Order: sequence, then structure tokens, then C-alpha cells
Amino acid sequence: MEDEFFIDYGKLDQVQRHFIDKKTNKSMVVTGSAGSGKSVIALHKAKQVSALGSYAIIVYTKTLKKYFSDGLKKLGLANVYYYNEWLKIKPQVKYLIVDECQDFTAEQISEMCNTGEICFFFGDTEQSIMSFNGPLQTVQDTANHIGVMMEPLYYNYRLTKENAMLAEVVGKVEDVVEKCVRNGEKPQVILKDSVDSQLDEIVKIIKNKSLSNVGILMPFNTKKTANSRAGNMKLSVEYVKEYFTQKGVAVEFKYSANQDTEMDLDFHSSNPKVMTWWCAKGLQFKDVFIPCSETTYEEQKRTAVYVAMTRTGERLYISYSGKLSSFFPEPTNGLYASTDEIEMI
Amino acid sequence: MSSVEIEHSITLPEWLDTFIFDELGANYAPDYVRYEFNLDLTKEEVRTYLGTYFPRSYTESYCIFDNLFSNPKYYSIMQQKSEISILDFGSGTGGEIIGLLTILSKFLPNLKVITVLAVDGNHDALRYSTKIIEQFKLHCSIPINYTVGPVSIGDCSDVEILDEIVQNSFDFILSFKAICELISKQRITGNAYQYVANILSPKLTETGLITLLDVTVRNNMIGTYYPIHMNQGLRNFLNELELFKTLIPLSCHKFEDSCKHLCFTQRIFKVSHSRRINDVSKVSYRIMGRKEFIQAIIPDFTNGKFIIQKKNGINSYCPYSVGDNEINSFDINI
Repeated sequence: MEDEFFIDYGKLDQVQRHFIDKKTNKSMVVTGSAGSGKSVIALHKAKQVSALGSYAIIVYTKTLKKYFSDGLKKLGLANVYYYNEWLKIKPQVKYLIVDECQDFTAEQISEMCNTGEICFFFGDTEQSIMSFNGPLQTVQDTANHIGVMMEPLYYNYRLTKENAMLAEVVGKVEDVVEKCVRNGEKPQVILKDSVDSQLDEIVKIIKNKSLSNVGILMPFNTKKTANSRAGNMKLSVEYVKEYFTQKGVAVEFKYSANQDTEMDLDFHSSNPKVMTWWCAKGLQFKDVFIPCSETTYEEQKRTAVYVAMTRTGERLYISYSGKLSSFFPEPTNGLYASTDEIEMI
Repeated sequence: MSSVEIEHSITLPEWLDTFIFDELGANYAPDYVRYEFNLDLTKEEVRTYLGTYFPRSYTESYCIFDNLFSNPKYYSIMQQKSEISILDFGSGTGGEIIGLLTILSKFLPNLKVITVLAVDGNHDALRYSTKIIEQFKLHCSIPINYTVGPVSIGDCSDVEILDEIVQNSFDFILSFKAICELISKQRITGNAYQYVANILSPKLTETGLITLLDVTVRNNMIGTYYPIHMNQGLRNFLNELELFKTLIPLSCHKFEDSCKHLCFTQRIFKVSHSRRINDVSKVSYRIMGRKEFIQAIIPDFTNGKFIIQKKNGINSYCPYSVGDNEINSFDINI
């Protein structure tokens, strides 16, 4: 499981991890920035309490459940539900573990609390992007709701300081860099004359560097949605999937135009995974590509871009045509790798 | 006029002054009173805490341990050590740690390593403390292993969890102006000083010392002043667990077995730095250790008038004082 999460549970901050481990007799709310090890701790917490009584684990999406499946299997955990699945059963349990709790509304959190005697919530308000069902409850409010102090995670194990520096600026988020413990390559910004050229460049990089753990993250699911909302069907998972297929590049993808085109992501495959920023929530890849970064989005999408950027454990690539979106610093900014640095890499 | 002076003044080292005020952007705010609610401080407030309370904690620790290491008996025992370990419970921005480290580098420059575990619930404060430690390392030849324990204490069960996790023994256990917060927020049931001493003292090495220090204001929740509450709690602790004994104040060391009084003990420190000359810090503290060790290092002293506080230039004395010879209860080198 550790390989998949980039985060070795045993190497997490000893004092704080042990502290969280030992708390089993009262509810707890754990928060931490993207890459702080929340999900790893959540699963280990689930493993710990599974020996003490009935339990249920709720993750936000089906994709996340699938992503966690290996880790869950390894830990011998069975009672895992994505939210809509849990909603149909609502089992009464002694221990309830909820990952990505910032994506639930106050009513949903309340409903969950009613089914668990002791509840453990894990989340990060800075990554709150699933507000389709109404206003979401902040992690702090969840802590207030159940009457406990929030336990913030101190370190960030996934993000490199270099990627975090750019993510802080784009997400308008503070103190992410300070939490990071690793250094790495600076993010690369790639200028090409069209979306198709960007995708060609992505294929080239993946092949040349033999990248096997890649996320290509897009703003829209289908060509139709992309066209109607941004006037460009190419900003979609569907288009990228078709383009790559035409070029003979096998990809894993997930979008829901209809049952025929939807695919469940196979996380065992080394094929690049193409999905939306929202779908990538909670996932991690060694290399993340964010194409079409010339597009100007409404301010509300800033957090989603931040979430997408922070999926990377190693390298981050921002590609664009024309002018880079105002979400990002100018391409000449020192936060990006310079041409010389890229050649050395 | 007494010839024995219990007030002590120092100047913050220039490198430390420059680093906290110029590099870290600390603010000095003399009217800032927030010692009881440090866990909730925002990053901006932590900078104010850093500028106001850090120099005071540094000074208190520096002066207390300078006095201790100036004692030949204690010094000769500590000189034999190659490694020193420190636990700071409620370390905040780390003023007391830097004060102690400065003294260790002054008296024991040949140490192979100093290990520090700094426990606090305020992450911003811990991050500042880490930066200051990194800077301190540039001024110190002894390798320092600094570990943070970013945990908040919600209630007694959290302290008990911490007790289980931290299995090592320590040469120094510190808690400076942290227990008052547990009291204010009603995090601990019963006397918090007694509770913390009960939990932490067994973690002392054979030659270890625990120093509990706090502010001297009144807390309406407990209906008394912190020093009185501290003295009450620690007297109970020492009576119940006969393994430990007070070193400082000397009056408590001498009379604690039969003492029935609840004294207001207070010492005044003054620190000068680029933002203030003689900034005043009023604190009460107790240093304790294992009984055999305390007996081995305590100086020989006869009866006298033990000064336990000085107010408006007038000394107050331990009620058990006998004779005219004035003794500074906070000075081990009498």
C-alpha cells in the first residue's frame, strides 16, 4: 500500500501518528494539506478499530474506493462504501471513518454521525471542491459539531517543496511549503501552438521518460460539456481519450457520457489515467499533467486546479497554448523549471 | 535594604535578537497578555508572542540553568555525560529550550549530542521554534536532534496517551507557562501541576530535573494565584510520591515535608533587547528531581530568612524562616 500512496505509514511523524493511533475511545477530526497522509492514517485507523468493534469506512467517490481497494485488501478491511453506496444501507456501527469529509454538507455529516458511536473524520477545507449538493461543511465546523478539537497534521509527505510553491500561488493557500519535507524538480511549463500539440508533447514525455504512474487531469468530462461551458470540446477527458487512442496510446479514463464510454480506472495498469480534476480528488500520481492551461476559468475553479496540481508526488507539467491562464504565474517566473534545468533533467 | 538580590537581568544575544525580530518578523507588544490561550493563536499572534514572550522565556531558562550549572556538585555530575535529552511540554516558540541549550553549550561544550522533544499544539509556534533551532545550530558546535511533537491536549486522556508514547528518559523536563493554559481551558481535572508532575516526573533520568514554571497572576476559575495553586499541587505530588524532592526554591526543599503554608513564590527576571530595555517577567517555578540526586547536589545551608519573593523592593520570606541571615531561595549557590 505504501508504494501506491508514496507515503510509508511507518515514516510518518512518530509522535503525532502514535497520538492519533492511540485515540480510540472518542471521536476525532484530523485535518492536513494535500499529501499530509490523511488517507493513509484513516485506513490504518480503520484497521485498528476493526479489531475493536463494528466499523464502516466512507469515501467520497467510487473512484476513491477503487483506488484504495488494494490498500484495503492488504489491511483486511471490508466495510468500505462510497457515499451513495453507504446511503442505501446506513449501517449502525461502533466506529465510523470518513475520508475527505470536507466534501460533505452539514446534513450529510450529521446523518453520518447518527450511524456511528465514535466517528473519525479526515479532511482538508482547502480542498473542498464538491459543492454540487449545496454548501459544504468546513472541517473546523465538523470538529465543532462533534465537540472535539481539530488535529492538524504537521508534515506534508507527498508534495515536493518546488511543486508546493507553485500550488500555494495558484491555490492562494498559505503554509503548504513550510509543511513539506521533500525537495524535487521544479514544475515544468510547456508552451505549444495548439491543444493537440500539447497532447503530442505529453505523449512524447511519457514515452521518453518511460513514465508509468501518470495522471492527465482535465476540467471537463465530455466534449459536449466542455463545448457548452468553455467553447472548446478539447478540454475534456473524452477528447483526450479519443486523441490518445487515435495515436495508439493506451490510456485509462473515467467520464460518464453514457454507460458505454464510462470506464472504471484500473490502478494496477501503468497506462496514463485521464480524468477530471474533481475525479482525481484523493488520488496520487508520480507525474501529473495539466493540459489546456491557457483557458480562463471562473474564480470558483481555482480550488479545483489547486487540488489537481497537488496530486503529484514527483513532477508537475503545466501545458498551454497562447497565453497562460491568470491562475498561474507568468511562464518566466522562477517557480518553473528554466529551459536549462529541463535539459539537465 | 537587603544585600541579597533575587532579581536578575540579561540581554538577549545579538544573533537571536536579529533573527527573531528582523528575520522572523516578531513583534514586541508590552500590553499583549495571551499566555493562557497560546493554542489558539493565529500565525500573526504567534509573531507577537515570539516578540514578547520568547525573550522572557529565554531569559528565565538561561538564568535558572546558569545558576544550576554554576553549582560545582551539579556541574561535576553533568560533566560526565556525553548526551543530554530534553523534553519540553508546551514548548511554544521554544524560548526556554534555546535558553537551556545556550547554557549547555556554555558549560558542556564537549557533549556528543543533545536530543530535544518539543511538544505543543500550536503548529505555527513549533515551526518558528524549528527555524530558531536551525539558527542556533550555527552558533553551537554540539549536534542537536530536534523533534517536534505536534499534539494538542484536549483532556487528561490525551496526556495519558502522550505518556504512553514518550517512553524515553530525560535529563531535563521543562514546562514553562503551559500548565496555566490547561487550567484556564479546564483541560485537566484536579490540580494540573500535580497531574503533570505525576505524569512527567517518572520520565526523569537518575540525574534528571523537572522545572515547572508559570505566570503569577490570579485565575478566578481556581480562585487563587497560579503560584499558590502550583505550590499546593506540587506539595501533594511530593507527599504522595516520595521518590522525588524539591531542589528550588530552597525553602521548599528544606521545609516541604512538614509545610502547611501555601506561599506566593515569585522571581523577577528582566531582559533587554532591541525593542525594550529591562522588559519584566514575573514567574513562579519549582525544580524537582529524584530524592537521592537532590540530596547529592543540595548545598549545605543552615537556617535563615528564605526570600521567596520581592515586591516593591521589599522581600517576603518563607514562614518557617529562622534567624536574620537572608537566603535567596532561588539560588543554589549560597
